[in-house]
Amino acid sequence: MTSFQLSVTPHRRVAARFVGAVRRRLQKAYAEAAQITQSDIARELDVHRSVINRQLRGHQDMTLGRVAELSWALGYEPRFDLIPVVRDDTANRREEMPVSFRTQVGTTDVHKPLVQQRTKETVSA
Amino acid sequence: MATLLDLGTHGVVVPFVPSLAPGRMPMRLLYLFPRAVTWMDTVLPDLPSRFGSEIAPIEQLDDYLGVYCAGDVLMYERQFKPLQHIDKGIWQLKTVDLRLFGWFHKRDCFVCSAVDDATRVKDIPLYSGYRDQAVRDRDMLDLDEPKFIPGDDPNDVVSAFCYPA
Repeated sequence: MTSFQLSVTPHRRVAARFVGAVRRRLQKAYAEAAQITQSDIARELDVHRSVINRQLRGHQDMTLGRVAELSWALGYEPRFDLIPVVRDDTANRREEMPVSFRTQVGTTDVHKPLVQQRTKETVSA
Repeated sequence: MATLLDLGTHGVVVPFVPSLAPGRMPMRLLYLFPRAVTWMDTVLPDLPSRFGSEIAPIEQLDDYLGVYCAGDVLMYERQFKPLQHIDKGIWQLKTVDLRLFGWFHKRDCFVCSAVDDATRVKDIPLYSGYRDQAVRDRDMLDLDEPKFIPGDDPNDVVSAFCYPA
């Protein structure tokens, strides 16, 4: 039987899925923060509401700084981690594990060493 | 009368094979009409994002179908709809730059009649044309009855549609 698969290079696949996962995680946080509107977020970040809407919808790219700002406005502090690519010698290609992007509720104590912080939730691309 | 598997064996529809993370199995299915495959093969790879996104339309689709086929939640917030009913049981799957038109034969089983650039679909507009084409495709397909899930509730056509799942 003929089947079809999209032809996307591994590194672009990882990039697209990471960007998508980050945006979905922000959408989830926004859905959970029922009392916060896009206008509230826009006011906090000193941008127009349409910018927040476009960025949450994926119609406008977000910088890493904007991801952090949106996280903060939604009551979160983002963290970042890298997971090693796992090489499967029985396969014809490397099995790539996704980059993880963590969010942590609560303190924004920047003096707490990052290595001592433990996150409860991990978002994978 | 035939199942989608039978139709796939005869090349009437083409099963989509997702690229999923290690340890994940497909929980939702996608079958493509040959015209959709041809478009994805010939037009999609070079299609640029109309929104200047760093993620090209083909990469958006790969991400979207990774989520869809893995059975993960599709929608977190009502303003950002990844799946929308048009009319007569015809649905559109949506990325920023793309629209996939088709119907759900069974829950979590989408048959895609056609794919196109979202901006082109909105500007011309082409919604009714793609809807009618999908209805004709569905009527002509020698598929077991019932051929599609009627209604416009996304929870009827996909599992875990909206957060919380």
